[in-house]
Amino acid sequence: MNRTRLFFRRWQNWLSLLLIFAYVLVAIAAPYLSPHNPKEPGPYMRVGRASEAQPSPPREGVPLGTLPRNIDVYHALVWGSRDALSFGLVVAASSALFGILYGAFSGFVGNRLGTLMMRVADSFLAFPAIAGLVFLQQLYGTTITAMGGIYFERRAFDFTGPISAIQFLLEHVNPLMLSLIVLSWMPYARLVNSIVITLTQTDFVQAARALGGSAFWIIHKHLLPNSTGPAMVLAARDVGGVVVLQATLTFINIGGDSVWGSMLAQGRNWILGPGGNLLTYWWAFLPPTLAVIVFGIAWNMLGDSLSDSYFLR
Amino acid sequence: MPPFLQFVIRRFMAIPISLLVITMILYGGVMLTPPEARSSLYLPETRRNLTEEQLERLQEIIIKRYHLRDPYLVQYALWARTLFEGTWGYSPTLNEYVLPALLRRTPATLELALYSLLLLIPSGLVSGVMAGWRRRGLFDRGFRFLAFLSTSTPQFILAIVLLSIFYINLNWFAPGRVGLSYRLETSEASFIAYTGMLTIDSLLNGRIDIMGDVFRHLAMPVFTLSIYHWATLGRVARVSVMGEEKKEYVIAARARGLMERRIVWKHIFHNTLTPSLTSMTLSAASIVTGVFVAEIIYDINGISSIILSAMSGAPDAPAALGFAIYSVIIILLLMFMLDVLQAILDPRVREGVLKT
Repeated sequence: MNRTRLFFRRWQNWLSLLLIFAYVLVAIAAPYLSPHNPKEPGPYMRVGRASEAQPSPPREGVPLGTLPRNIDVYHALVWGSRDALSFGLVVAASSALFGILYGAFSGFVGNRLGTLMMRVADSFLAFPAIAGLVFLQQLYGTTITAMGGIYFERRAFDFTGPISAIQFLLEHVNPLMLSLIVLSWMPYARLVNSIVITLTQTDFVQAARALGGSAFWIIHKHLLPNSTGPAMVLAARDVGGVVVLQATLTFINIGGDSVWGSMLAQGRNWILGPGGNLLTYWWAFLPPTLAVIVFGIAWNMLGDSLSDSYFLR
Repeated sequence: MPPFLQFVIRRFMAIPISLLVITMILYGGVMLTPPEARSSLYLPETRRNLTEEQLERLQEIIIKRYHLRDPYLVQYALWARTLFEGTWGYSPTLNEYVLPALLRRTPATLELALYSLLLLIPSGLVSGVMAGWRRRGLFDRGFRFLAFLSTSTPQFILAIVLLSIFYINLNWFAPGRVGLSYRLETSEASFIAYTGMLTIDSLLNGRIDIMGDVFRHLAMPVFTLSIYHWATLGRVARVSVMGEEKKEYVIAARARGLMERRIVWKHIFHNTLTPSLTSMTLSAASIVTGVFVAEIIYDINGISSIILSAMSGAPDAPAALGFAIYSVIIILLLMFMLDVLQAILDPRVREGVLKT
């Protein structure tokens, strides 16, 4: 049976697509669903006095209530989905792209170089994302201080002199995004590497070689199309996993700027403080929690259904 | 030398190679910064008493001494040597040297990781095999539902829920390592710290009450950590059992009239170990990241606490770099242990490694 029809036969696959579609829709329509306050753009919009410490329940014009300091939950939720979606997609796509090319190349050249390249990739597997993030941000901070600038709240202030490569990089690239890309390409490389090694033995690649095709041409024409499918399964799961990790690191205040994670961190004392309760201030807890969980589930389900319908039959 | 020991030694020798690659990459990152910033890796404890001018002169001396303007390989070699002999630099936010700070906090982390692994490996393997053997049965359905729930609940959200219910409302369990009154007792001189792990120490000191309290504090982080990886491990075990029941050795065992239970636990079980433990080896890094996250959320003074201060205050490159290297070493050791465990448990792997 054809793959697309097979894919749409199960309800789980429908559901995962539907959920992802909903997130995409919210992300695109964010300016219409919850317009920015022109005075303070950004995902956190104040709808009252900033001195108010207690979260207030939903009321007219504030459909999901507020966090401490009168930050609108609904607004942050809507803009947070744009943030999460772009973060997850960029990380997954970049690491997939790099990993696929790396794996294809190392599999194709084979021999010593190929083995060495895979050894390097395996070494990366022993590196935890949290350490990568901390390391990158500290490099940034140390560089700023060493060059006479001031490092405050993870940003550079009062900086004089020419900007170095790493400063430029970290000022324009999210450090968490960078460290997650650097630390999540290895599964793609391993996967594609093994596929390519198997494929190079097959007749059609041998024939292409015999025809005098260049390495680049063979990889591009024959090897990549055959290995993108399984890589897509990994990528779909990565989108969800990466966003959940981003929210986690934001919540524990290690860096990272997930809007949903930060919402939970802001409401934390009212959920977990003395006499705190999950239900009393449900609007500070449930919306961001559900947003993160459902986001992770949707992409994971998409990965599962892709792997089921494409590769196991 | 017995061949198995040879394998263990050979596998152990792979650790320095991975470490070499990773430290080279890390130092490659450090190379992106200007030499003045790099000199902070070597600044001694006395830096706090220096004036601005003296500090600059000191930086200049360090740059000369460690050849910080020379090519990458020279610098890397000099820096790597200090890793073996030195104290991994002085951390201004911790007010102490990095390596002793890490070593002192290791038992707390180790304790948490150890109990989680002890809980999740057996339970993951057993429940996965049981679910896979009776596929689509009641147990399988229950397992898949629970596994789905636990893999889709992020660790920190589970922690919020657990803390809110079991700490704030019921007060059954608590965050931290040990209760306040016991914390004073465990830091007294009469309480001998044999291992630094409070559960073992309290037992050796004959204080069952302290041990109970430590477990009361360990319950939530251990549960949070294990449940996610329990589900991942169980799923791999379940899938690897599913393919087995049609295999010839199972049919042969049936024909010999073996009991079903014996077939599963004596024959099939061994075949699921390799894929399961391999998947754990691959996710070793995420397990350790999980340990750090659990430590931070549950306020356990483990090795991740050295980056907490570094991330909130002034930049602290020695702490960040030391933390990165130290956690890589932990992960490599964890991978090593899982590989050896696999070789001990799986006869095929054992024969495979012994032949080569």
